[in-house]
Amino acid sequence: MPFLELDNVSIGFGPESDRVDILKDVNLSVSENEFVAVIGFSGSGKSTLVSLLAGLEPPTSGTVSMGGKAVTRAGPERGVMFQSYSLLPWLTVFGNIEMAVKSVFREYSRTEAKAHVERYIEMVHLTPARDKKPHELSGGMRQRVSLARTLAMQPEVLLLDEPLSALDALTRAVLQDEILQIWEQEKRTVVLITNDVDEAILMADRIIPLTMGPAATLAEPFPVTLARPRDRRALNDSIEYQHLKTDITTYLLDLNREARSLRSKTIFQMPDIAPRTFKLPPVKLGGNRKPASRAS
Amino acid sequence: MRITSILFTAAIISGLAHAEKLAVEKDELKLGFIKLTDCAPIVIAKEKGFFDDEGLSVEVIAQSNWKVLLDNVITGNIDGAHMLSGQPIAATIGIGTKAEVVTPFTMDMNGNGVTVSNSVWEQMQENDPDLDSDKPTHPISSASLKPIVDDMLAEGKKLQLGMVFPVSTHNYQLRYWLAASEIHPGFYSESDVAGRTDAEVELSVTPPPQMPATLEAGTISGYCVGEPWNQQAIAKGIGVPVTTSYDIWKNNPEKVFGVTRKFADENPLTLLALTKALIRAGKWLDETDSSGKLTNREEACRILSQPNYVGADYDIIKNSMTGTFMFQKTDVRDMPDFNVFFKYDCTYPWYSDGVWFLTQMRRWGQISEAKPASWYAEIAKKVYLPGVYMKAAKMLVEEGELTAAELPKTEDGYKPATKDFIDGNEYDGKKPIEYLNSFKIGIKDEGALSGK
Amino acid sequence: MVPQIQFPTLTADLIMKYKILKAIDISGLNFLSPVVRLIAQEDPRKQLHEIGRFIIVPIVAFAAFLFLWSALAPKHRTKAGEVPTPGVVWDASKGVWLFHKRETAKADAYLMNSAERRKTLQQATTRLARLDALEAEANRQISDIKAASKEKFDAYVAPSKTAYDAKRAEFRTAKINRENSLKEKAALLATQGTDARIAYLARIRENAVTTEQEKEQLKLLKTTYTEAQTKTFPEVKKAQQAITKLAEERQFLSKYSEMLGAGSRESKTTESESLLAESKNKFLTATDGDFYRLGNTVVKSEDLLATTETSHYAKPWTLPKQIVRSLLCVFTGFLVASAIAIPIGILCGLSPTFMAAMTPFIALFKPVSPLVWLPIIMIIVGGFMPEPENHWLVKALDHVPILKNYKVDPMFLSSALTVALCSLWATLVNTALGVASIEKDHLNVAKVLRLGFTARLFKIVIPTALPLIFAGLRISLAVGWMVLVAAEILSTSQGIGKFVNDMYTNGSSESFAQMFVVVFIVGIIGMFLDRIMIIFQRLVSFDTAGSAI
Repeated sequence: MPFLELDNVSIGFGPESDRVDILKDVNLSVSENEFVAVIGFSGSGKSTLVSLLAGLEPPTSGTVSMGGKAVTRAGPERGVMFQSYSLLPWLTVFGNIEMAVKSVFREYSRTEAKAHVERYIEMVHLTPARDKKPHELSGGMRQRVSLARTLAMQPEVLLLDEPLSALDALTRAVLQDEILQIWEQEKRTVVLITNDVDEAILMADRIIPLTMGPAATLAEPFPVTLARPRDRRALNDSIEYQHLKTDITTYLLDLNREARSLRSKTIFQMPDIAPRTFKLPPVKLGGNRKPASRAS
Repeated sequence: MRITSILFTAAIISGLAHAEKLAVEKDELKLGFIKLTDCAPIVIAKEKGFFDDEGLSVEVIAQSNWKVLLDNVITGNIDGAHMLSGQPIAATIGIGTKAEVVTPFTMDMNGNGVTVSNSVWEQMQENDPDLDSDKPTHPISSASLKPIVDDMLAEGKKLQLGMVFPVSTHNYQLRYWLAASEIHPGFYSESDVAGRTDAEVELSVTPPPQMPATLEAGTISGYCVGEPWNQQAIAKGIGVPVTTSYDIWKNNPEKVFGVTRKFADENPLTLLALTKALIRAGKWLDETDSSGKLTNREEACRILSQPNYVGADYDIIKNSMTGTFMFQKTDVRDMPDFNVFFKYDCTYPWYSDGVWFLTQMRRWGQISEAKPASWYAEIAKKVYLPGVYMKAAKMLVEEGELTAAELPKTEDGYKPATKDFIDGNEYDGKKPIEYLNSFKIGIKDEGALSGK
Repeated sequence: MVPQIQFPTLTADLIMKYKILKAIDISGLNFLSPVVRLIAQEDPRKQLHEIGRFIIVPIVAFAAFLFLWSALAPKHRTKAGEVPTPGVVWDASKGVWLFHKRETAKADAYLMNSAERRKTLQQATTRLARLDALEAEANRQISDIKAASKEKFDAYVAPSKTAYDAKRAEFRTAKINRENSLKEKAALLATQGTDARIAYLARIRENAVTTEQEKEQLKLLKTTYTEAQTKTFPEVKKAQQAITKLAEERQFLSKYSEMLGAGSRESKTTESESLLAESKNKFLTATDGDFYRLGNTVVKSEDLLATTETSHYAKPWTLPKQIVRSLLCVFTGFLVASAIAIPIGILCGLSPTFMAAMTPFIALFKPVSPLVWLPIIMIIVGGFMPEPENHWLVKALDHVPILKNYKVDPMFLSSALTVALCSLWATLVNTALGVASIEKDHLNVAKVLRLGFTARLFKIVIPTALPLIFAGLRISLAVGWMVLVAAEILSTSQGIGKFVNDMYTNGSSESFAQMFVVVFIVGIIGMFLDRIMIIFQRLVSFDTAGSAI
């Protein structure tokens, strides 16, 4: 039974007459406690997808729903971990998490809140840096804080928006392991947005490629059936892993090629118009564009 | 009148317990002054403890100019102040800020000087070779200035002179001095508040402390101001004092102590106490020894030279305050009456003084319409409070601070007619219209005389 | 398997060093950090180099400035006075302080108890007695010096005077001779023809030209003569200063002794008490007479005693007190400015529509000079307070602990409001900018956490804008401090500005030096205010790149 669902969702910007679609006809359903990874090139609308899921932006058409109810606004039941950490720089590690805890669990007493916050700081191994400000921390530590803050809200769905893409490879590996470990302990519905195929295979139950924008949409998913818990060193030798990686990579590269050819076509399709007056011509330029077809 | 009745009550109370202090309505007062040596009575009354003796705790605050001072008195920021004689009158009849201001005490007589720049002095000397000496004969009239004014007029320019305030004694004295030699200083009118209509010289307002600097800068070629600013000019070589207000009108009234009518009505005993202290201060300032030497003036100069009072150098203040006046480096004269603080019944608020200022305001057009003689007397009686003065003086006599001989002897508050002017014109306070009409230059009120 | 994050182990010394360095960094006194590092023996060569650059160089520059000042000042003089040298300015500052000390002593004397009073009076009398001898000596000295300098002066003036007198006499005779000869020739003209007459005209012209030339020559000599007369001798000046100093001390001591004696509050109270006792006695023992009158006298005496017991010496305002009042005034204005500018700035930052509404006001009022605002504000404040002493605000402020000693009056409020009006713009604009520059991610966090408007404002918006708000406040305070002195000069509100105006108005030989004293005081206080604001700014700025200086 789908827990988190996107039903024919489109989102675009600009006026009605001249809309540029970012995402078009996106359908997604995630079951409870499933770990889904959405993979795509940068600029394909991944962050917009997260915004839609989180309820930060309403779709232009279609519906976003969770647990059968339509999502109309953002809320702590869908915790978001942002790519840029989004920590409040004037608060300490403790303060950042505390603010989230206090706004979500208003009924907590002071001591309860403190214990709660400290539990999550401990969970991401940041207890020694408890009173440091974000600018005193490394990128990896900051993202740990962000993770702790998101987890501390105890969301039903965890939306991870390229959380590790700004980190160096080693830190990234460490954090991947940590996130996985925590997920194993506290099962949650997770949507991970990433551009790293290895990461997706390592972590997800299902990998869904996002086609190139504009008017991007979700392609057919690749299920990952590798046994859990997964060990990154063992995975490298796994045949299934290698196949999956090759398939996804090839698919993505094809997408890229197609997109490029589309783009070059667009250039040749420039309409040959010269204005007779200074009034804007009633021509719908957007209408000439061909929507990217779904590759099979 | 309300004030008299209150004074009457005060008289009863004070009459019975003359050795005791007056039960003043307000014992913490703020008095304003301008940094000129003739603020001395206020400063002395404070420093010598005369205010304290009356049970008054007085803060003495310097004001930056006459306008600010008057505004502060009117708005109640300060309770009373050292004022130009013309100010209470002008305020009462509505020249400038309109407000009823009254005075029970004239602070001093004389004390102003006319200073011209070095180059004007040289030209005056050329015009009148008698002036070109180390000690020329006095008084110096403006006759030798006349050719300079005429030459400038021929070139289409006007000689620029400075004075301190439109209704200041300085303005009237300077005008009197100029007009005495037929130099027209210009009329005021409703549309010409600068007073330059028909003017042959232009008079402008400059704050006293800025006079020497303005003269040095050449913005003005001469000025009429109180001390120490004439002595500053000669000491620093910026200009030459040519005459004093004493020469223009012997023993002319100069500053008064002014309060609002509201203050006088609400605090009659306080006003009485203030007047007592000020009379004592005046007397102290004019104390002489058997040889006629002013005994307390040096101490007064020391006190005045404190930075919170006049603040000028002791030597400069001393020049004029101790009975001498320096006209040139080579010409230091004895002028025992340059500053009079008590002698000649100086401190009594004479109605005739008030009338004189009114005649001058009319003469130069500050009072725009003709008024009957009765009006002059009426205004003088509104502004001057000799009743308060006499009450205070009599109390002082009882306390032994004054002798009965020191009380002014007058029936009606008018001084006898006098010809002690530079042009020898006669002034009788009871005949203002005749006086107005006796001037060659100035507005004349023929109609008012015949009509009423 | 999870790696623990390793933090370097710190010794107590190191912690101390870092704490000091952090404090230095926050206070913006970075020039001190090489000293601390040097003491901690951290790369001494580098630290010495830094000390040289950041401490020695400024000191040398300031010393050079003082040197240039003392060398150049005496060369520049006008008739109105001379530019004071650093030494003279230092003396003037001591004079200002002495005046303050003496007035404070008088105020203290007024309130002393009898034992203390007697002791102090004893000292004052002793000193007064010693002054007699000192003054006599000084007077003797100055008469000697004056006699000596009189001779020198006469000798100095004599040549120019003789030259002038001789030339004047010579020219006068020459002129009379020329005129006489012309008149003689004129007598002959009656019989002579046109040529001779025209030639005669030329002679008259020639005479006029010569007379004019002589006049010019004479004028030059006169100038030299007059200038010679202004000659002063430093020894006379010095002797006079010494006498002035003694005379001023005598003036002070005699007033001081009076205030320690009969003029003290205690003596006055005793006097009032005896008066009261006397009148009470009269009232109680009188057998007949006007009891109404006698009773009245008793009541009046009681009132008098009550006022005497709580009376104070009306101490004149001295510079230290004026400085404090100026500071109070600037902070009042600053608080008003902040209270207006920050909320409006936040609204501007949050709502572009509101910003659009405010833009014309900001553009229009920002450039207006304090000298224009002040009279307008004075009229407005005066309108609200027709009777300042009875106005509720003035009365209320009379009960505020610190303010009551500094007499808040309409002038104070006008000056403070002028400061506010002139300084609020920097804060307003900066606040708006700070709020507008809030990161979208932070707003997203707020959305996810479902923060309400107030929570969002106080937890996200204001903290984000704080560094910029404080940068604005810092500019505002600096502007306010500059504006205040001007406002006080114009409004004659007690404070530094009033001091400047008074000293300028005094026109004494010390006036210019006193102005220089004010320059340094205003500068130093301004610097301190700025430092304080820097510390605040650093404390609220969350990134390391807090602005320097």
